[in-house]
Amino acid sequence: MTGRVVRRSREHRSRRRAGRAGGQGLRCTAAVALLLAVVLTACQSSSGNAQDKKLPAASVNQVDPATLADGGTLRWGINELPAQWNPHHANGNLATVQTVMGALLPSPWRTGSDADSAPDPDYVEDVDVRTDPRQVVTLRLNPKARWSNGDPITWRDYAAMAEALSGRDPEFQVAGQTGYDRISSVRAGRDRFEVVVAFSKPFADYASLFRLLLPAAYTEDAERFNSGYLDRIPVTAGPFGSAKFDRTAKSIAVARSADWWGDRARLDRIVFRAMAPEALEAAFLDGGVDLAPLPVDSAAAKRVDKAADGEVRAARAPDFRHLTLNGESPLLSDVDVRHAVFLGVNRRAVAESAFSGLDWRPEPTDHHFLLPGQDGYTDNSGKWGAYDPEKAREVLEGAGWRAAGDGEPRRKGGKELRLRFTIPQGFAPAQSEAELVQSMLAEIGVAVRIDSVPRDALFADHILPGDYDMVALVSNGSGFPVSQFLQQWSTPLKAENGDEQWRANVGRIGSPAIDAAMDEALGSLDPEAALASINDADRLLWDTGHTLPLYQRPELVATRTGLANVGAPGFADIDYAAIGYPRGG
Amino acid sequence: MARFLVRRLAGHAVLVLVASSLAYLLAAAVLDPRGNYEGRQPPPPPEVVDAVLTESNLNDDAPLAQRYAVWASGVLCGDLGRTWDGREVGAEMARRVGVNLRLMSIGLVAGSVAGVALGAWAGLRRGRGADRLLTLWSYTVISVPTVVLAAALQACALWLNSAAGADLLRATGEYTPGLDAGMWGSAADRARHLLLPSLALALPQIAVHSRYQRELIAEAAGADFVRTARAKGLTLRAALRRHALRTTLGPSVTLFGYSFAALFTGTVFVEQVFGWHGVGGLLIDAIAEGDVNVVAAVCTFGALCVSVAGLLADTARGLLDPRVRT
Repeated sequence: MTGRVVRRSREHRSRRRAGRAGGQGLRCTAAVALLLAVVLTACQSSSGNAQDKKLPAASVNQVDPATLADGGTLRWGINELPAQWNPHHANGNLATVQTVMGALLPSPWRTGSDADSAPDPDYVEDVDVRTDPRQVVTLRLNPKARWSNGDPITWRDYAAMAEALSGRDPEFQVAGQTGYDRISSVRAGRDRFEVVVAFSKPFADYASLFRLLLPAAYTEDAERFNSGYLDRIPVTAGPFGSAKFDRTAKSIAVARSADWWGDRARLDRIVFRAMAPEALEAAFLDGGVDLAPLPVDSAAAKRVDKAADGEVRAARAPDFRHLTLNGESPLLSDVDVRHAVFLGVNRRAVAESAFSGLDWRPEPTDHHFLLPGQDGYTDNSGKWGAYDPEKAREVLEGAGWRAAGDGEPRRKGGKELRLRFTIPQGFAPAQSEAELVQSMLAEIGVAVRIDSVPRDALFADHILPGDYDMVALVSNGSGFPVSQFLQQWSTPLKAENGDEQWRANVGRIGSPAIDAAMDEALGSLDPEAALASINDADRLLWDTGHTLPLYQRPELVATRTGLANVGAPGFADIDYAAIGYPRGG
Repeated sequence: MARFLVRRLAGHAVLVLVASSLAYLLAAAVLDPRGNYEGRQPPPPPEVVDAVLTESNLNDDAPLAQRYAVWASGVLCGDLGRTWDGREVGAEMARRVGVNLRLMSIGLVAGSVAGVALGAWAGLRRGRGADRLLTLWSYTVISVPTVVLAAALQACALWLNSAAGADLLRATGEYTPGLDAGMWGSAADRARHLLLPSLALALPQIAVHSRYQRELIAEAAGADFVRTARAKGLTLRAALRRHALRTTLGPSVTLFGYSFAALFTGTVFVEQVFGWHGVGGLLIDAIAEGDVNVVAAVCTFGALCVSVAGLLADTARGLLDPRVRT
């Protein structure tokens, strides 16, 4: 679930849930439910020392699976029942698909809560990496591993998937090609259970590849790649299998695989059940689901915690919120103005406001690639990270922006220093965040106008065309930070007509030096050297005033008390076979 | 009579055609299915996005007229097109309509019958305590938005469950997916799920229908045929009960028909609060996902429902009143 993979950001998911017409009503539903809950639990005592606990990297109630009960059903609340279950298809690149398919498909590597990856012995016995003369990764496959149709998992499955995802055949509707475009060949080693992957360019994030492997029969042919897993899950190879859909209830049930060769799964069955986010909490409280993602909302967390058989697992989500500045907007194209904004925003105050009401201390972040706790995480912000309105004023003066008296924005050559902060309509946390930034920047003589736009227009009409000054977004971190952020921080592609295509780099700032540092990191198989290059790139991003990281977000999950080895996993991949209930419970 | 019905049928057919075409054109002009791929990290290759959109006739690079022609020719052959992620819209619609039928039938029928009965009862007791109480209650229910009512019922059920220490009522879902409890067990499971949403739908129906019926009875009290009946020695209440009640049922049935049709796409709050996956939720999701074909399908279905209800009402009126047939 981490990996190179490309999770649709949470913001984006919620964006999909609440559209132009429906959004108001649904938010109204949530507000009413909240109001009622507040009224009905009016006499509950308020918890005293808020924001005193540090959020852990993961909260999954880790227990030795051997001590858990054998059997049981887990009803797992999800937000949607997608149609496309091929996680590598452009339509299947969804968090829900990753959650479900993680129980059903092989991944040669598994990521831990420290974001480091290790081979998963259920599928891969040994990994050998050579770099001379070119990078070659050799996987020794577990010969016991089989697809649900009885075929063994062999090098052919790897070869066919590498070819499909390389982007060489445009008929394959792939979600992305990062990494696969650097593979020159995949062939058999001494037998069919040895996979030799040769790279044309070094690729340090090789452990992000081949996750959620599909059988060759579904990756050799574009038609089967595009529609073989459409509304069905024909072949699996995991601790769970035989997926059964109930499209009326929008649920999908997977059963413990009888022919699983690894440690026997503790649960008999997992039923993934889709509901609107507003209904999921009620479903958890009435026993309809045993596990449900919660909104970052102190009231919801308290209601779940109060339930007799429920608890909230909270961890640092593997993502961070940041303030993106448009480097091509008329006023922010000046790096000094961007740096003044960096200095003028009190990031700690923004983070504390976002965590208000929660019992956990916010975690401000200083990095464009790594999250606190990840190997190599350092503060590269230099002069631009600390809140210093006095210095911000100096920077603006130095750039020729003269103070124009009390409450008035600074001026330069007849222009006023007025910026737009574009936010999605009807999302209260974004509104209060923008107001906070507005009041902070007013202190340094920068006027901010808050532009709230319809949610589905935010990306299409404002961010992607570059019609904005400031916007707050969420980016997913990962154990493969360079693969993850490569497009977000690189210089634009040149289109055939000469236009610059910034694509994922919505801040529209880039430099050959940043590109080179990221390329260096991506090609460096020595972890120390790679981290040094990542930090070089991060330092350059701070220096050029590209995107102000704000804070790492919390992830809250409601679970049944005692349910083990699942919850808020942070960076970690869930071991579905280990999920279970305590004995005698 | 036949000519009258054919004329009506043709009128309704044109209405549905125009309404659905307008819905499609509006949706296709305004919604942006490309947005599903924007903001992803990293974004899929642009040529892949184009290919996927083109497959579902959603690519805004194609002229609107061309997309409309593809859509309309499909619809005329019974093919409602595909969702943005490749599902058959027709099959999804059929499933959702089934959910709505099961969700609404009991609540609306029971609510309407109870409303008419209560309204008639109150109409016979105008001005008395019971009538005033019912009036107060009706106006309260009518003025509470459905979403509040639904959320309140849900909160009550959760409180009841925790007070009883057992899951008496289910506050979310149509049934427990994957439950293996035999026919009676499944029926009981469905009943536990159905009670709350049925109440949420029935209470406003009772309130509205009772008001309506009460006024109809009140009006009838001054009608000539009731006066005649009274002149023959019946008491007012006996006259109303024996003669006025039947004649006032006609308008109530019409009201029921139209409200049933309108609610098919209007139960969205009840669906969302109680976690049922019906037509309303489909429309909400489709708008959020820029799913033009689905939005058009739901609007077409809505137009169809209203037309069918109208047609049935026309038929009933035609049968009852010879004057409208000409």
